[in-house]
Amino acid sequence: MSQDKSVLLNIKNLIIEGYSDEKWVGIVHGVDLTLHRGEVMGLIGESGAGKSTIGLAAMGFTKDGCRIGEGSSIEFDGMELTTTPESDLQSLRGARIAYVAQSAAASFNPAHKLIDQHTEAPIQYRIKKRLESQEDAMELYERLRLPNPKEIGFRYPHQVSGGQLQRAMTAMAMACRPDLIIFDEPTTALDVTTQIEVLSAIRDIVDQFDTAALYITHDLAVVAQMADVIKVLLKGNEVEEADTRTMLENPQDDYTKSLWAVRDFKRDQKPRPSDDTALVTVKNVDASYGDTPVLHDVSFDIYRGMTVAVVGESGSGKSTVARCITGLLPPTKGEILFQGEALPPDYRDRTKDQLRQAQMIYQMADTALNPKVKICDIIGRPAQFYSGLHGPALKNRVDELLDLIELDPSKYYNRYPPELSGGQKQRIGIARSLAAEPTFIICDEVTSALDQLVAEGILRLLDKLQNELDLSYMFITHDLATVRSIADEVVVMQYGKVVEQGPKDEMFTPPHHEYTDLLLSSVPEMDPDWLTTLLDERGTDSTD
Amino acid sequence: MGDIAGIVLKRLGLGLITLLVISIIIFGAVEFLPGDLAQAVLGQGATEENLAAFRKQLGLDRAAPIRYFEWLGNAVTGDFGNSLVSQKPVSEAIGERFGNTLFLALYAACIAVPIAIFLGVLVALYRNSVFDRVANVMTLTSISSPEFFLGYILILFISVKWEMFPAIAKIDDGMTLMEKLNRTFLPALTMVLVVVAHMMRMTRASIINLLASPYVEMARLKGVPAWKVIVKHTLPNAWAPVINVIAMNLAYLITGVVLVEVVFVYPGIGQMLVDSVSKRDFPVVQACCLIFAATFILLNLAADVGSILTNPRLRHPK
Amino acid sequence: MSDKKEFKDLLTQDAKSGKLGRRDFMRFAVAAGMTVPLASGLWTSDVAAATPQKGGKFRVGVHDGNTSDTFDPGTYLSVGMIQLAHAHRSYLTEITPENTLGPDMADSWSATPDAKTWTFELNKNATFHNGKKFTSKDAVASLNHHRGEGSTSAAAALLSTVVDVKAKGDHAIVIELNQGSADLPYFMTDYHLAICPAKADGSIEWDTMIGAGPYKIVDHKPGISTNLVRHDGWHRQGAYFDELELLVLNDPNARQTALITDDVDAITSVDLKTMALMARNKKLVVENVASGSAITLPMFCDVDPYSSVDVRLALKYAVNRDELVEKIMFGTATVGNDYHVSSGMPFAPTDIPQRPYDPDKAKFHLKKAGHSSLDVSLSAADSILGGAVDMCVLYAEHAKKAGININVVREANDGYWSDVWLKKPWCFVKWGARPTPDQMFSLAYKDDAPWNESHWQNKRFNELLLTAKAELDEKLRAEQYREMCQIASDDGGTVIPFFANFVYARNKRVAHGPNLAAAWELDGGRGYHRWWFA
Repeated sequence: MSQDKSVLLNIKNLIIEGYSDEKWVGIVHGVDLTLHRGEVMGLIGESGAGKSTIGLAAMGFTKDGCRIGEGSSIEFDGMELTTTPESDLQSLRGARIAYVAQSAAASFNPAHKLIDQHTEAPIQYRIKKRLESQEDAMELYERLRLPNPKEIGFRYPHQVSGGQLQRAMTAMAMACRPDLIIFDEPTTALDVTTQIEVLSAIRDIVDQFDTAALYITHDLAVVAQMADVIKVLLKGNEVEEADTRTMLENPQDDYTKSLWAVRDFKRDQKPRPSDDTALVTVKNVDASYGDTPVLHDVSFDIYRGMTVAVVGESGSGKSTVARCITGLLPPTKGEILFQGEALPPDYRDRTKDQLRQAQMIYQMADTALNPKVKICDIIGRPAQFYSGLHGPALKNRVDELLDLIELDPSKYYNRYPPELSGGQKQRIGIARSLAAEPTFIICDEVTSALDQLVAEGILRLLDKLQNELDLSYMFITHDLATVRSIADEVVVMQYGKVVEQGPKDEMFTPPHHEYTDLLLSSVPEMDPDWLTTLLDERGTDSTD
Repeated sequence: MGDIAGIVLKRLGLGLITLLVISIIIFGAVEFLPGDLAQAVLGQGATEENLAAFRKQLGLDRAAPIRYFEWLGNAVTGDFGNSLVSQKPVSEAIGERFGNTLFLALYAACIAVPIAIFLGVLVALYRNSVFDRVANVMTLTSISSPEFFLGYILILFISVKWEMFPAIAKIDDGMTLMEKLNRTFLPALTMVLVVVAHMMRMTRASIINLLASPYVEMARLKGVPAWKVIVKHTLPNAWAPVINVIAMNLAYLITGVVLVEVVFVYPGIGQMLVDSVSKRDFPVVQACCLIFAATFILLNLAADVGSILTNPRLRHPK
Repeated sequence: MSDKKEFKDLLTQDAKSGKLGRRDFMRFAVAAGMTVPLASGLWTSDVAAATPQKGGKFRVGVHDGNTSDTFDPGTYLSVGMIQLAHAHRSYLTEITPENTLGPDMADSWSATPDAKTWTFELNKNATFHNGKKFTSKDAVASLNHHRGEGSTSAAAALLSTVVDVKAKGDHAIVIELNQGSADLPYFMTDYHLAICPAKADGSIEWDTMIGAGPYKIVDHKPGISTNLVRHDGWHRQGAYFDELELLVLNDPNARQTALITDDVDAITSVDLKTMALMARNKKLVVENVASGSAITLPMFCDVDPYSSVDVRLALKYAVNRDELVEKIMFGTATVGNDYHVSSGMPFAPTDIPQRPYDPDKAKFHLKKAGHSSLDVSLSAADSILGGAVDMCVLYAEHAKKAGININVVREANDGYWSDVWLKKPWCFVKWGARPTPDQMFSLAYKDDAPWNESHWQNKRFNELLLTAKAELDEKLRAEQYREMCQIASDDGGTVIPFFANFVYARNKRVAHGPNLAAAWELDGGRGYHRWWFA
């Protein structure tokens, strides 16, 4: 570690404005930030807190349609970035300040090989020659524990997995040995097991090169592992800043406390009704996309009034099961039973009543709602279709549904989806599925696109609705925290098979199936030493 | 890559069926035109007896389906028949002119495509600037002017006033390539003006479309200069729509330039088609139309294959 | 422009077109106040150009050339082929620049008194391009190509009265007719009747493009261009150019541009709208030559309301011909008088008063026919003549003043000859020039002619037509044609608003004699061997 702890980045009174509806609107309202050499600062907050905007501003960069306001000062290593001409800023970026984006899959250019993208900046700034830079890239790949470091760089982005891409991007950020790296939610899109690998890789390399970093995330547990200092942001303002341990143990501000408290919601596990047939039964289901088999002999039951969480990493087949149940993908083998009776495999062969019984809520409320249709119509249409309501009766039903999801009918009845926040949109999605008066709802990652406070609200709402309406949920998620709070039973899936299932409490107490164990142990905890301890336990060669 | 061969074969098969259908439609259309070959050839001055004798001589007195299937039977064996008017083989009559048409189309394309892409990149780089707007207005003006009008304007200034290039694009086999290029410069330029706008605007649009993508932002955050962001990071991913527009315009350059041929007196195939239709010379009309249809089919196929080949996901499978 | 200058220009113009001889020119010029030397100088410098000299390549932009053009003289139709035919083939007789009949491959001709048997003495020196001597066998075969069963020739009708064509020795042919025709030598100038080499079986060899004309074809690309070189064995004086190039330039603008940019030396058919602009160019000369090509508006005389001669007269008085010539033809036409004989034709009458535009008189005739107003439809298409529809609309405006409502019907350009002409009771027609009144009248005005486009039946007219046809006494014949013209004008079913002029242009380098034939463009299609580079 370097002994030089001088100030590297000094941001004073940062104001950033965005242009919308023909006027400039503030996004960041006067934030100060000081980062020393070799220091890692975590920027934490919900969406709209301005974390990424501040991160980009540290590079003297604003997104199109944004500008840095009057009176702001961004001083990087003694250089005032707000007055530096664009061409000089350009040579700073990549070379002295690097950036690691949230989605490596989207941030690598699909048209070029990884290594060509890696060497672009060093060659551009004549820091290294091509061959030299390529050798350096391979060395970094090796340090980041990428498989086949000599060869992987010559692949195209789509030929490499998400976790590997994220590490390759970190390597790319290191290409010019920058003084500062901005990590913008680098692990948010990854599965928990992959997340660990990337986190440890990032931590190691930042340590090795003594690079300063701004680590932007909404995940407290993650930031706890990575940062020396944590700064909490809310709506473009600073809430508080403290070193990591102090912040975790003794948060001062109420908002910080509420963030910390999110994970407190936990519902008691309900037992199966003793003398009832299951509401939905998935029985020995095989399914395939074209010639590619994706499900192998999947079986589980969902009883009335209960929540079954289906967990697993991406590609484990969780969503495919949902498609089989709704009839979008007819199984190649096995059957779906509803209250003991087999459903036609194809949804087109099902009766209106059968269709009504099972509804779906989607992950992306944004794309699941037509932005050009009023709320009352979005909810009213299924109500009309399944219940044949119209006129005042329909309006009453829509009002009732809006009441159920805790949105004031008089305020929201005539509005359009784009006017709503993410959580409100997801509530509308819930109301729409309730309009059909179902007994069973499939929730496909319904909270993973939401901030934690909002997500918690949705979970509480779903719980309330379950109690009031005696609903059954199938909860598809990769987030074990969600499982812990809401599930009664858990189904763990891997490679299209069910590896373990049972009541929640059982599942969260050892002994486990080894995959369940890996999943559970990979969920970051709010302990700054968690990652270090875990890696020590597993041994460092467990990555990939 | 085996997929591509499969696609090509399938599309070529469908193309053949399309050609067959087109040949039926064309035959029907020529049959339904008022007047017939005899009248058109002999003109106002012919008597009924003349016309009857003429029809008999050419076998036009037989029923239409018989004549069609006779033609089709020969066509399948590669014999597209003789021109009813000149009695010369269709291939002989069309060959040279089609060659001329291809020459001019290629000439225009060689100028137009690089210019269009270069300008497209430039206006994407300086989007919403004065340069962008001027380029926009100028290309829109050229695209919305009828080609004969553009041709006349070019003749007026470049040929008549400044005496830089000849107005009559008459070429023959004895000319050197340079002479030919000089002779046909104005018609080529006219066609360039007509097609450049399309391709340029599509290049601009598909580049700008990609500028918001995360990997472009990443490139900018890596300190890649603006022009390199466009040329290296957006252009390679913007090809698919551009290629399609290029193919469409190439097809136009081959099939849609009758007016340019007329204005510059260029002996291309379009003029021949018009003449043959007015004379109801069915075998020639048929051959011209089938060439045009085949051009469209092949260029569309080429565009699809091109789009596939420029997509790295398909070029380098996992 | 002063009056004097204007008069000088007029004089020079008239002299050039042959209306004035040198003596008359001098007399008028001096009378107009010019000194004798000045007038004389004007004559030599402007009127009588230098003597013809040989050399050069004459490049001509020709319109109406098509890829489908063929060399079968029986199917000659396009202007492009008619021009080419006169360059590489020859005819028995020709229309001279003075619009009289002259010898070509026939040196002389004579007829029996009933004009039924004609003997043509053929030129003994004429040869074909392949060196073959021209003999009576070739002439007989060339004429028979257009006759008999199964002939596909468009000239079959022209020769329908011919009973027999036979050789009389090697250098004369005898043509027998079933009725007397004094015009037969004129017929021989018809563009279809080109002389081609005979084959052994008596048919002609047309597809080799070999002719006996002044130039032989080196290279022919249908619809594109034809290159020719002088035929050294040509039997006549002239053919001054070493080479010819006929370039198909169908677009009027392309033709004009080619002439301006010096890509060609002469062009056919100048676009009337831009004619004035071209005339301003000092390097160019626009030729405006009266022709026998008439615009006719035939009414079916057996269909109401046209069956009434007064209705026909009303329509004839209801048109302002001068305005049509000025506005539609930009002055490049000669006012017609409702008889189909142009001033350039032999026997053209000179003393029939011009019918004026007179709405009152039209009204009078309308009333006499029992109509207070009249609604009629007139069909036209712009493919027949650029501006045809406009012309009819203008006519409709004129007729309104006479209480006649003409509804102008714009017909499809394609198929006009098969669907409109001879089918619609009143339509717009353009006729190519025919060399003699007899030919024109027999073709389209005779009671039983298939192309009697107005369905006109007039006993006296038809009697006169038969008599005059075989009348070898020119004076008597002229009188007979005068009467027929009068009848056609007063009783006929055809409004003839004007005769279109030939308007073509040349570079000043190209010189020609004082007169220009009215048969076709470019001096009757014979500029190729009559003109030269000054």
